[in-house]
Amino acid sequence: MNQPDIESTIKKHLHRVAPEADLKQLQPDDELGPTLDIDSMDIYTLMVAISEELHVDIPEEEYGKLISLQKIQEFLQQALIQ
Amino acid sequence: MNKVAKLTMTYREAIREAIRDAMQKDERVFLMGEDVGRYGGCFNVSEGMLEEFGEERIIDTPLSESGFTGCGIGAALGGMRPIVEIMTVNFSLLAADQIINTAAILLYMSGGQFNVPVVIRMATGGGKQLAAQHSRSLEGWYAHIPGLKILTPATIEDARSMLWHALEDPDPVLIFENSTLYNYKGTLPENGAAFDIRTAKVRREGRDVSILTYGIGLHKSLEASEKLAEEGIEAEVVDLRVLRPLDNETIFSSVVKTGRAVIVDEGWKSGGISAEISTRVTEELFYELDCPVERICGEEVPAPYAKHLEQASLPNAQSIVKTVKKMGGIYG
Amino acid sequence: MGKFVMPSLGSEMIDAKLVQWFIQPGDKVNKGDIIGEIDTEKGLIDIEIFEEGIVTELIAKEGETIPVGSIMAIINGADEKTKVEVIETKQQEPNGEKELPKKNGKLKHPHKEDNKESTVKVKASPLARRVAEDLGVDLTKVGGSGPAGTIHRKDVEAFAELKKADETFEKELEMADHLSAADKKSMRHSIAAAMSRSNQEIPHYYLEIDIDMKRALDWLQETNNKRPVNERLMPAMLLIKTVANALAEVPELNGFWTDEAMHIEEGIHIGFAISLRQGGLVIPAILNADRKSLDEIRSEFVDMVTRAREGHLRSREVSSATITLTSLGERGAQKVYGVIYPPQVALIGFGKIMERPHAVEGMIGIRPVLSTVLAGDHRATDGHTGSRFLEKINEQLQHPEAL
Repeated sequence: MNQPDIESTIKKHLHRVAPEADLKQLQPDDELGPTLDIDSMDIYTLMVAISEELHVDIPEEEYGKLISLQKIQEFLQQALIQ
Repeated sequence: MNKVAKLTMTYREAIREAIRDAMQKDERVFLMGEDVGRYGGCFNVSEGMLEEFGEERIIDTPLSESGFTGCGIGAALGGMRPIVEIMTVNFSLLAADQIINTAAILLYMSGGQFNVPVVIRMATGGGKQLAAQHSRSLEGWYAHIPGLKILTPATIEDARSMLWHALEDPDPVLIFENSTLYNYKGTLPENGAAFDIRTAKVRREGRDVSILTYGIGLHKSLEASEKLAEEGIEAEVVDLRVLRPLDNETIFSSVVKTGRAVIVDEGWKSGGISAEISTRVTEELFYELDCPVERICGEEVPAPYAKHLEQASLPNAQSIVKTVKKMGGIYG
Repeated sequence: MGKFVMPSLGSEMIDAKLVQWFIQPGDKVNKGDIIGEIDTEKGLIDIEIFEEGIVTELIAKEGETIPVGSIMAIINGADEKTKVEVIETKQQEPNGEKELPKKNGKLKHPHKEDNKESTVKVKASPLARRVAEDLGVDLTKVGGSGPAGTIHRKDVEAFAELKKADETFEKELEMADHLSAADKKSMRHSIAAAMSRSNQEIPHYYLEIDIDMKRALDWLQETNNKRPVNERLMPAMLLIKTVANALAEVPELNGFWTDEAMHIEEGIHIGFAISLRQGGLVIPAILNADRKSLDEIRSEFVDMVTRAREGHLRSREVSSATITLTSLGERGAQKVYGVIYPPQVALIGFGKIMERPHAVEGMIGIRPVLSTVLAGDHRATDGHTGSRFLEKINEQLQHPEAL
């Protein structure tokens, strides 16, 4: 899976949890919570959805670090290689 | 002498006291049977009584169960209050015709003219390595017969008090004494013996399962219930005491309370008293039952002589615990 | 015969618009089925039915605005339905090949067998069946604990107890009829009315406590390490359970102030505020949270939040909270001084968990600290009670493994 695919997967699920958020404006290093006005429950829903679709386990210690689009992308890329 | 000197006594002593007491209270009472006089009774129950009451009232009989049981029935018809001792239930088969064909039905056959106030005592049960001919538990079999009353004392208190009430009954009463209980020791309650011949008695209260039993089964069931309590299962132990007529009220109210019934009986299952009790519970309380009725009974074989085999053929506390623990919904 | 009426989801509700029916005449409905959707001040709400039977008539029309208490549908009760079935069966008998003598216990009518297939065969003890009938429990919904899943009395009773507790909400609905009716029907107005009323009527007192969250968070991390991502626990779930347990010990804060008196509620239903991005907030409740395990709370929480966002909360969920919990703090606010949602008598505000210097065993350490503020109704309780309650919360969070 290449980078654009990963990105579109993340955005697809982001759209689902925050349908009214404008994802085009979202910068790779923007912190998701404050930028999109989504809370920990939304992040949780997002992570569950991503991990289920890509069959990637997200370890607890990584979970807290995945705060921006870029961080999630990097993590997923790494995880998918392994 | 009239007052009971000691409160702690064996089952054997309790029966002896009961006989002495009855003979002192009522001169119509006498004891007859094989070896009850000079030998002091096959199980030592009547030891010393010949000296105390004389040959007129403690009568050694020939080895003819049919004959002396018939004599006892005749004496009862003649106004006496005989206590007939048959050595064990196994030999009562020789007197079965007198018991079943005469004593049990004479009142009916005479159009209500003749009561037969005889009391017939006998030892019952296995567990003493006396082999197949001497180890039966046929009390349930006699409980089949209308016209008889069947008592099975299991405690010192009952052994001490049942006899007098049996003698007061105008009809034939059979008392079954489990032979392994004769040496069992217990204490008589201060207030003595106010025992009603018709009822069963709850010996231990519990909410989870009713163990319905009598005779030696009571002691095994009480032992089992202590073990069950360690696992949080509270068994109610009902001492049936009377196998005919069965005390439905006490049995049913216990089973209604617990929703589960186990019957412990050394007799065989097929056509036995356990089958009768199970059926009554199922007929009357089907919608109160939280799981099927269970029975723990003697194995359906002639009693083995070898000790380990004989023990294996009889119910014990362990088998009761095991059965109860697997009953549906018992935990929690 | 049952009449299904427009439910009241709070005293401020006068009527609601029926958006759509999910049922048609002739449908069989069971307790707890969602039969339609209504538009209220609290957003789109799924309406549930609490009886079973056959739908005979839909009176309310989609798009219509229906006052609370007005009949929306007619449901034929389960009893009548059974009667109908029996009659049908009897009519079929004469058509059978041969009429078997009634004395023969085993009637072997193929028709009958067919009819029976429609009912699920349940393995249950006779006593369990009787108790189920007495308590109105549907055995097909009860899990059996016995051999081969046999249902025993205790299974039925446990099921009925939970169900009963869940259904106490109906009583609570009546209790809630103490707010003045808001004359406008937007969610904003509804909130405005409740909050103004609260501010005018309720003499609030506030108590706060700083809770060292190190143990709780460590335990959470350790637990989550062993779990797949969709089964992980979040601090909010821990807090809901903690509040529920603390209320079980300090029940004085759980209930309603009505008729100038405090009414302590038996069921502990923890309402938690969910703010909606489109504006406003909803407060669904986890019913009987004290009796639910952390995992049960987790799955209900996730489910409710998702449905709250999608506008699919159920009527009972938005009308039964006995206390409210808000953790606005997640957004950065350190402390939340809440306004009590009447007729409730307390609101717990959790702030943001922040690393702060905190004294531990005589040393200053940097610890994750959670500022917790209790808003209490001074008519119902005094600060002493509130203080005890906060202390219970603190104690529990120091032993998260016991939750």
